[in-house]
Amino acid sequence: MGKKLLHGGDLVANRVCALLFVAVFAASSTASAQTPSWISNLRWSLDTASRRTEPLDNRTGSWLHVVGLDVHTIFNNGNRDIATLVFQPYVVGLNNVARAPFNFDDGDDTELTWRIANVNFTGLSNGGFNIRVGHFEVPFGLEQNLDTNGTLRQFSFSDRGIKTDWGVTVNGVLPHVDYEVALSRGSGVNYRSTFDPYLFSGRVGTSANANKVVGVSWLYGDVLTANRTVEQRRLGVDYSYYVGQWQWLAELSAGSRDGDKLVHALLESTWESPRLSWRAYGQIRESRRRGDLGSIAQSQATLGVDFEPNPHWSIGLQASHLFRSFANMSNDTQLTAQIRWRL
Amino acid sequence: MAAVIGTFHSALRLVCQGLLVGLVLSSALPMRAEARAFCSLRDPITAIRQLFPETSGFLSTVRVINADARSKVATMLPFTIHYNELGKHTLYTALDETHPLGFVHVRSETGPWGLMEVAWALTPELVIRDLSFQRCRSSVCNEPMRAELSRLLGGLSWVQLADLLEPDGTALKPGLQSKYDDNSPFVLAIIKSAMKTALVTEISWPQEVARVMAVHLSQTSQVPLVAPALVRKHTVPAAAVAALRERNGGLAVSAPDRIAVFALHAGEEKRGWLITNQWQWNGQSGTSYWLFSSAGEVDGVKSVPAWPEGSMASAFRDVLGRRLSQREDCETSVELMANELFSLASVSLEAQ
Repeated sequence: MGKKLLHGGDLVANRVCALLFVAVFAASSTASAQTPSWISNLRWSLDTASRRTEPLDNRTGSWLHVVGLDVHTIFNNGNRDIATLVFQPYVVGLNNVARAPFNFDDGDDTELTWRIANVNFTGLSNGGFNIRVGHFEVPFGLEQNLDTNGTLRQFSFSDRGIKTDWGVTVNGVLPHVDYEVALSRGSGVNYRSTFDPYLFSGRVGTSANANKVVGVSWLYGDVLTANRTVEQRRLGVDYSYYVGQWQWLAELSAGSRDGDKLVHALLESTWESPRLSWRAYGQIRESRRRGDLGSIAQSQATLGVDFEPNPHWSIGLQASHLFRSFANMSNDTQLTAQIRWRL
Repeated sequence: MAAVIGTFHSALRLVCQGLLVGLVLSSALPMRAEARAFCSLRDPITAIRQLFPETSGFLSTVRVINADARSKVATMLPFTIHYNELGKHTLYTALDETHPLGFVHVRSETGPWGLMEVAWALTPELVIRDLSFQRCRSSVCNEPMRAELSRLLGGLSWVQLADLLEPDGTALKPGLQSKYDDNSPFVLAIIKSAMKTALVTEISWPQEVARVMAVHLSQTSQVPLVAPALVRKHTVPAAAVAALRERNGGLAVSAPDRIAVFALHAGEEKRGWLITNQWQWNGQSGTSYWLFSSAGEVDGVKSVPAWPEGSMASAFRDVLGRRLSQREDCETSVELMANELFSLASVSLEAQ
């Protein structure tokens, strides 16, 4: 396992990030009135989680364990903010995972991964034009405004085959409009140039703080998989409506994957308790794919509940049922439980 | 069914293992409340622009709101902040080029429809300037209501906001209760949020507040401070207070144990002090801010809330621009205050 932690093209990044890991801990304990702003503005937390997935079709279940560091700080020039750093190295351990992501050797592998690791240079304007460099969430759809990192609840990234990527974005908040446009490697969690992947993506939407939010997204590129790239083209629209303790979310995208026409729709209804300690959600996903061999469909329903008794703990339970799938795995039901602890 | 039971047992074992690990770690490491992953943090850009339309940028200052702050709020207000609100929070100083305009502080408050987030704009004196609904999932959080609340609360300090509530803080005063009728619980939550925001800002960001107040007060002096002004907080030794009291046969300043001295620096150059002092008069109380040059002249003095009587304001204005380092030069109680504060500031600086 140890030799897998230092791997190929990530060798330099892993060592640099390990040094930053030590520096962050050392710096965070030396705060004083003369402390540089990026130290006094430092937020850090340990983040651990264990997740059990149990299929109900007699297949053996799997485990996923993560332990990571979550770091956030703000740099200023003594007068105003100039940049924000988010740094999240996570060690992820898999046990008997059936379809492991391709950055793992197999379903029983452990890897050091980068959840989010980027610097957003914010000193160029009054929030209207920023430049982000590093590893970030690919801007598309509902993912942009709602945090699904490390949660059971997910949206539509699996349809596009990529959730996070290495690259650069321009982003900002304009009057009535939030936007982010990214040019990235297309290789996902790890930086790989094999097969020359690339991705151009973006989302433009109304203010994320409003009770009705609309966004338009696009994605164009060749996304790296285990042994090739997959051509992905998408246009999407998302809508979020909040009233009281209820949320209704919708996302519709259309495009192509390797030349096959593809349409994907997601609907979600969510209830949150007044102090946000409970969340219950239900999702329906529907995908249609039409290619040379005809038309196939995939339908999935998900029910989930999250409980956060305090700022340190969260417990999630989720059941998802696949009515039909592209991979011909119909009537596949999975139960998943996760416990997560943050310092 | 067997698989379901197996999953339940797995989940139960998982929860127990996790609890054990968490309990061990919790006892070994300092506790902070950091529920959300930090990648989800967003600066309230829109709110800052709405609340300070003249702003060209902002400065973020992250500080811990801890149990000590919670206790202080509880002693000064009939309610306090929730345990879930403890942890690191960000105060935004809105800027016009390099000149600080005031503060934006976003706080959560439980309303009739759940948790809402309100972005508060505070003046350098920590008086309410305006508000913006950052997150409020109810139709009552509309622009007419926001404007109404801005008119009601604008210009008030946390001390004056308390006058809008019953003494136990559980309801609006009868006049407001009947005015807002069904929306009274919502308005009550907003006023409590305003009070806690202003007070927590004063308690948890003393140096940033002092820095901005110093720059603000110095604008009428001969050499205005230009941000950034580095601020170092000094403690007034109790022995120094006792010695001064004995030497002078008493003190004109009230609550000498609550004097805070902030030494101001611009680069390597010493630029004087900002001294805060609590005052009480005829059942009213407030905070006075004194700006001294490094030579001891009074460059600025201000009270929050404002002095209760015009004669008091005049008396404090009369010391502006004067150097009162010698007790023999002092005739009025305000002049004595200036002398005592300058003396204590000098002693506290030497003691560091």
